[in-house]
Amino acid sequence: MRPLPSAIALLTLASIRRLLREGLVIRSLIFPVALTTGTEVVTLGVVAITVPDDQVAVPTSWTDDALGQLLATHQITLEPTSDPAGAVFNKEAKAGFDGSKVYTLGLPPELLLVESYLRSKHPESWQIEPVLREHRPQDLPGAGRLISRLVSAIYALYGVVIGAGMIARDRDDGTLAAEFLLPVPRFAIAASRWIAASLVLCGCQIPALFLLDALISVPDLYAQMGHGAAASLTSCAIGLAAIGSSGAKSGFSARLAGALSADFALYLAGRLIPGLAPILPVASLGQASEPWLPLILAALFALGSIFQFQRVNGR
Amino acid sequence: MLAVDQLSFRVEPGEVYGLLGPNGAGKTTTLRILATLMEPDEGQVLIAGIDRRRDPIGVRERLGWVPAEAGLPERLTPREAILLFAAVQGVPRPEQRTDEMLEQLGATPYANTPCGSLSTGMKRRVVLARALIHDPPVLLLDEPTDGLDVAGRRDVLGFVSEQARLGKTVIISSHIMSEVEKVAHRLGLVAGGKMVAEGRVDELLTLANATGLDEAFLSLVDGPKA
Repeated sequence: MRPLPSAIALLTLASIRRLLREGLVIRSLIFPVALTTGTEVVTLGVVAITVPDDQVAVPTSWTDDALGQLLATHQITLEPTSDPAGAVFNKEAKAGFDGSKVYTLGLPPELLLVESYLRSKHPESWQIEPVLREHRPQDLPGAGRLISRLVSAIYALYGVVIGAGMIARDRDDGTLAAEFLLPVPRFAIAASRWIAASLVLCGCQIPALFLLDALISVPDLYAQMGHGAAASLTSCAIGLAAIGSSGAKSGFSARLAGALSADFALYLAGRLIPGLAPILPVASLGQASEPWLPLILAALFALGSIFQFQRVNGR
Repeated sequence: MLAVDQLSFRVEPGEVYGLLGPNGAGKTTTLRILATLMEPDEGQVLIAGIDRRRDPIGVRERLGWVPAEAGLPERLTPREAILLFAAVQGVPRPEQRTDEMLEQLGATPYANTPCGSLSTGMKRRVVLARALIHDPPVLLLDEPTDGLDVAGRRDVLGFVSEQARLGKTVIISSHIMSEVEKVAHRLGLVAGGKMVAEGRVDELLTLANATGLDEAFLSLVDGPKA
């Protein structure tokens, strides 16, 4: 008989090989990152096309060189036009100025320059009346946190499905019973499957978050990865436990639904009791805190799930 | 539900023991208990002299198991599936042993084809190779000829006889009396989870005053026809 760690490593490698050869698993794991990065690439492309040039639109009758010189020091040009406001609305210029009113989309640096010019010309007290509001690229870090949390949540759900599915499939086709005949404790069979599913999940999830960060900047990237990994490890364990603890005649769907509900309950607990959010795996998705506690709890969940296999009958 | 009740038998090395009975008689449950896949509520099982309750891992080291369903991972090839078992069982030079077993069972031509693409007969050969990869002294076969054609059944039963000649203890379950009759040295007739009768074929025929095993079985289970 092989030493136990070596046997678990061999069984894990076989499970990884089987998972990677399943087209459905790979497609589903690639789907969240393909969807989000595809959407981001398209969005950035649209933004790049529609973003206005570094220009301030002024009336064609504009004669004061002071504004032009002020803007020129910042590589911004004056663009004489019959309708400065329309130029801004049509995104042909970042700011427009008709001599008395400034038009902008958001708060580009051009606004400050024009305001500085205006204040030099009109030192009396005055205030800005905001009219327009648009999302800007600077808002993306907020979106990065949200999207990274959503992507990790999708991987967590996949964790439940893959953890439950691999045990249910192997139980139905007799592979699990065949492996139970190997001279290793049953928990080793469960451990190898949990490790395999977790490695495959995290192997897709972590590059996905790196890719998101490269595209839209994910704040606290490493914390997000840690919390995402904790969620995936826990979800695999929940899926494994849901099917492993069931009898041979138990259906798959009800058990899977129960496991998904348990996963969602963890997430909900973090929303309802904010004190739990930095601690509980799954609930901690999106947290900026250190992920060590959720990771430790995830490992404990996994140990519970794995060792309950000692009581499972082969069929 | 009581699946197996007061069932007792002993099989010697080099002997093929046929566990016969209709569907639901408790044959598979009995084999699963022997194979450490299920826990009995009470009773004792010794495999190669080892108590399965005290040392289940020791029992598994000495056991080859051929289940009714193939139990082969669809995405692995026969070579990968058998090699995994060889490696975990601690077989010396597992690659060489795997190739030898594939060759012995005539499975080399499809050794690198995913198990999911194999026919029932091919899978049965792979499962036999996997069960014997660690050269166990005891072999359990649950309905090993199910779904096989005539040639496949002949090959499997021939292989079972060969294993007994090599000194292995073989227990084979089936609901097809005529097949097991050909290879088994002794038979155990099981019905309703109980051992109805046990002995050589001629002993059972005499006991039931019957001319064929099917008739003998029906007579022993239901009583002689009026």
